[in-house]
Amino acid sequence: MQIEKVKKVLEDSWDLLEKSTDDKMVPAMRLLHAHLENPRSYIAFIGETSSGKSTLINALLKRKFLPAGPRPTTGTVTWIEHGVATEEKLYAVNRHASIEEISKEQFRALAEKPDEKLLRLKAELPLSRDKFKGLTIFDTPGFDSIIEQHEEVMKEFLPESDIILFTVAYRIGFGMDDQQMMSLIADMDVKFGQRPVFLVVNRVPEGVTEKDSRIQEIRLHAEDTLHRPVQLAIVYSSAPDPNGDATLPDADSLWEAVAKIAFSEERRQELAEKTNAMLASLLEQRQLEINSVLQAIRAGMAGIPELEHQIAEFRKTEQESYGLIEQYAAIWAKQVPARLEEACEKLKEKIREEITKGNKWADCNSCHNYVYGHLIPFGCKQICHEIEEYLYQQFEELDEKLSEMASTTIARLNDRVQTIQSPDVQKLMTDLGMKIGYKLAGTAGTSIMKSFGGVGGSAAGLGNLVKMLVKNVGGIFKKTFSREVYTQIGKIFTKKLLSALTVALDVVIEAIDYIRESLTWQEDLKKQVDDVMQKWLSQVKEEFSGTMLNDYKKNNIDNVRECYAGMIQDVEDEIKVAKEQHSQSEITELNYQLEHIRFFAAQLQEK
Amino acid sequence: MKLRDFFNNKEYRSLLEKYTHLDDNNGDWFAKSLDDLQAKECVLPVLGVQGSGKSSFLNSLLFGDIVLPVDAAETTCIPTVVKYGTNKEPKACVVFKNGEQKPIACTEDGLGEYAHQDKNPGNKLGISHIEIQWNNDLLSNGITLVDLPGVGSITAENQRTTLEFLKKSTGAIFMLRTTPTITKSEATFIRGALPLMGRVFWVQNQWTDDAPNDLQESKDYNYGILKQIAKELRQPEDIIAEPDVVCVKRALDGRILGKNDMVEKSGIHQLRDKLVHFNGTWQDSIKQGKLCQAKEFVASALNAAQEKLQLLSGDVDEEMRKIRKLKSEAEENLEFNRKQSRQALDYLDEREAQLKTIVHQQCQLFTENLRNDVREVIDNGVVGGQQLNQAFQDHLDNRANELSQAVQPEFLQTMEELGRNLGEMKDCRFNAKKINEQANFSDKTKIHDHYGRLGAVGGTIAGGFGGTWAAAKIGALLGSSAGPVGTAVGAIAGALIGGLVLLWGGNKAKKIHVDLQKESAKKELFAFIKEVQEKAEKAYKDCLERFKSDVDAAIKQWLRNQENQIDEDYRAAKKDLEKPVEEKEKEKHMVSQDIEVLAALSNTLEA
Repeated sequence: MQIEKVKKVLEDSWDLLEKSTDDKMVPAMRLLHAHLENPRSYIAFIGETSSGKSTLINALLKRKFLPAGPRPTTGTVTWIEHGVATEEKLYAVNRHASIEEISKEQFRALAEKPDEKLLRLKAELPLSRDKFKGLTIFDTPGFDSIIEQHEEVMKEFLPESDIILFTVAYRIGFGMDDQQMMSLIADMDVKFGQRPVFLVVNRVPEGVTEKDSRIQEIRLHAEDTLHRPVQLAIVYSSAPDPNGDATLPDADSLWEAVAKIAFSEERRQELAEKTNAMLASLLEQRQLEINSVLQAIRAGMAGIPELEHQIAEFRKTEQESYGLIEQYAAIWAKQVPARLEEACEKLKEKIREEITKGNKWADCNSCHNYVYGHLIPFGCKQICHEIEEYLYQQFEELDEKLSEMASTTIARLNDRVQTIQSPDVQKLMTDLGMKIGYKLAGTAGTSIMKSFGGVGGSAAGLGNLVKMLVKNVGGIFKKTFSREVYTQIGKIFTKKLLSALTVALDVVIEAIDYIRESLTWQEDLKKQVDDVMQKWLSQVKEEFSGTMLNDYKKNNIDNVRECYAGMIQDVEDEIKVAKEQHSQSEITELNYQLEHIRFFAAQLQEK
Repeated sequence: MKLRDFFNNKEYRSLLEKYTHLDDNNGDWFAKSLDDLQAKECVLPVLGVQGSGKSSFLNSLLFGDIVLPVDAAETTCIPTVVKYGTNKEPKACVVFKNGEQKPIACTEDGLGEYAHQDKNPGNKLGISHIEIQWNNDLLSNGITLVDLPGVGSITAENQRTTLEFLKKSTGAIFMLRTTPTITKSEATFIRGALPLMGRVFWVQNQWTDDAPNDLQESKDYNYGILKQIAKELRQPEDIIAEPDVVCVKRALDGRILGKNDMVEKSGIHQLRDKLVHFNGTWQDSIKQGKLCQAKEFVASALNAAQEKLQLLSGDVDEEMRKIRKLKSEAEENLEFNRKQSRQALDYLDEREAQLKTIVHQQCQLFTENLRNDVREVIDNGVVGGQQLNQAFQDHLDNRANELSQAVQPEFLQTMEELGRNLGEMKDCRFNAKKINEQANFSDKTKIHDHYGRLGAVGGTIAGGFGGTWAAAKIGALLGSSAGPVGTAVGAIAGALIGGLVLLWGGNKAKKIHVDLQKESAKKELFAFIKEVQEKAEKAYKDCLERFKSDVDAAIKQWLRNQENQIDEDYRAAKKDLEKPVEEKEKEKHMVSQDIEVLAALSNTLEA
């Protein structure tokens, strides 16, 4: 499969696709075209502050282009395109989508200390070395400077990145912040697919090899967190020059390894497959659209009462769905805080016991560490999981009921179809049911459709689809309803609750000395634990009742709304078409388009 | 004719053997059935997580006093068997593993001396169980209640004990909590054990601090999860009885203080009534199940006899054509079964590879996560030996739980799919069609009711069979199509619980050295984790292989039996047909007599 072929089919079918009534179609086409036009490799640089990210980029460019130094020097994301311009061009990309060209001085100043309106910096650089032409690099600030927003950064850049460079300074090692960051990458794996991760151990003393136990632990820790192998790259320290200034390290072997992957045939193949699949789905969508228009024309005014009836049906079910969501939300509003309270009480009790027992074997110091280093974090995590599990069950249940409502509506549509006299209207309604089923079934739709006769297939197709929907209630709709919602928020839930714990624990750190000096440390510690837990509980409860609960409700409501709005829109489109006058030439034109689209789709499938 | 007399009657037995292939598939069915009918004991283990109130429940139900020790942590490490005896006051004795017995005081202290973890750590006294006997009316008809170690955070030995009792149980009492509701690890256990549990009484314990208003909600939730599990296991939802809410504490206090209104309000009476009813009817249920089977066999024999009579009386050529046709039909069925079996075995092959990969990945994940847990704990300053051990243990349990939760659904799915494949197999008996048409009494639900929910009796359904899948076993008994399914599901159900055994076992022994340096502590724990991973992986894989070879052997044996059966049926029929006229007349006379006997039997056979 070739990128060129996909590109040609896209360009050839451009005019046909552009006529789509879906306003998402054209942007999708443009994005696809951009990918095909300029197949670049995006490399994201990630790592702790002062792990040497900017230095490594400078080493690639063979000049000190980016500010680099022992203190944090990168305050914003910098986007570097290497080898695309004949002369150096620097830009500030602002939050409100404005781009301004800036001077080198401004660039350096903004790089270190971004102003409020800056979104990121962009540098288009002339080619410094041939073999690295076309590498596009995102330099990101170290996590501590962005620890609050690093998730945003990851969300923005990781899906777009082809290769990830994760830097760790040899002397500092792989710490808890690194672990947190790496686990975000692991999360992204699930959503956006795996991409190569280089673990760059930077500033390694001369003579140390990858067999070194420190490097081995860094690698093991990184892989334990990522849950797959990383590509290890070692960059040695470079001695300062005679003036005492830092020199650029030799990172060529790293960059060569990166370039090898970035420009590999597999990468191109992957891109070709991805874009091919995207284009195929666009063509299929347009095909569905034209088909339903033709159906509507054929059925004409006779189909309108049926269609209007269907809209009313959908509206009714939609309203019922909202009611159900409200009912569930009311239960959560009561149950979750109660469960939290209960669990906290039990945990407090357990910790108090441990502290009392601790007297036998532990001094104040180690008991303190045990309580704050294990008992509380572990206990709180368990609580979070328990609540998460409760919510999960609830979401499943709600999901099942919502799905049942939706599939019952479609089943009713199917029953009605059987009684329709006019074959044209019957076909119109059958295809409508298929189309809706297809949308509901999400990505798995294509194969499901095919196995049931496809669009324009027999009336039995719809019946079978309905049967399947009913049988798999809660299965097929999951993508549309709560399951998706849940996976998104499940993690956020625990994360939010645990970050509330960090806040609660910060208070403790300040009070440690007081406790240590006290003779009655056990009682004091118990009291302190009570305080921490209380603080956590109230924060978490507030967070839940104030934000999360509404989020859950809103997410579910939005999903239902979107789902039904889509169905209703489909029907309305058909009504519109049915009401209009259509000349024979228009119909001929549509048939002609359909034929062409089929032709292009077939072209894509050719090997 | 009474069922018992029927099973004892040698003539009937030879009659049935003459006309059916009774023992080819079923071993000594007559003897086994007689054993089942005469079963004196009906074992009901009391299951539930630690702290769900198992011992308290039994105290309030039976003793009206604190007899079984109820003190918090790991009380019951030794099972306590409570059964009927003639003595008026409860008498207790410990039974050692070597069979020796020693009478002890039947009081909390007396029992605690042996049952308590502190007094008998790791069961160093080598006790098999504690036995209590007396003439409590609830136990009068053979009900034997067993107070078992908690489900979940228990040792390998405890787990093994639980499994053993489950295997010979007829039903179970499962203690649920009001808060928290069924947790993930409880659900994991139930999923694995449900097939072995038979008739389950779900008791939701309401502690006095559980808010009465939450009760209904919590009960609905628990009930919902249980039904969900049944659904996952492809069991009818109504196999799950509605949980009974019992306030165990109130019931016990009420009985101790002699306050009847307290006992009344606790809900224990309703449950007791159910158990009393069960005590009075369990044997009858077995009888009904056996009666169904027996009637089916008699009908099958009767049918075969009638066929034979027809064969002997009819025109030789005509009859020959008929039996040839029957033979070719049976062979077609056999061919179909072979194909189906091949598909099932191919599926299993394919799944075996997949499952091994999944197991490997999940075990790897287990290790990686656990190592990160250890890193976190140690970096948080928990370095003291005992505390680190405890923290490690907590995390180990947690991750082991996650592991079995991840692997279990995969095993279950395999089981379901396999069941589907094998369930479609056809009956190859010559008179199969007729039997199935006439078999109006073989009402599946009836069998299910009488047998399925009751489960195995006194361990007579051995080798992993039991409980809700007994229906499949009956299929095998009747020589009908469900044959190998029973074996398959039985084996895998054992495997699911077996998987848990391994993880909860063997790990407790680990004690790292006190006061190690951070890095050496990590090293030591990492080495241990690796060991656990390897053990876990091996155990899962062994389990899988054993399962596979069992299924394979069962299917092959079953197919061979079917083949022989066709052959035998055909040869016998041919032989009859070719007999000289006189002999035929004689035989006709005999068969007519047999028909009379069988017809009379089929009319008079009763429980």
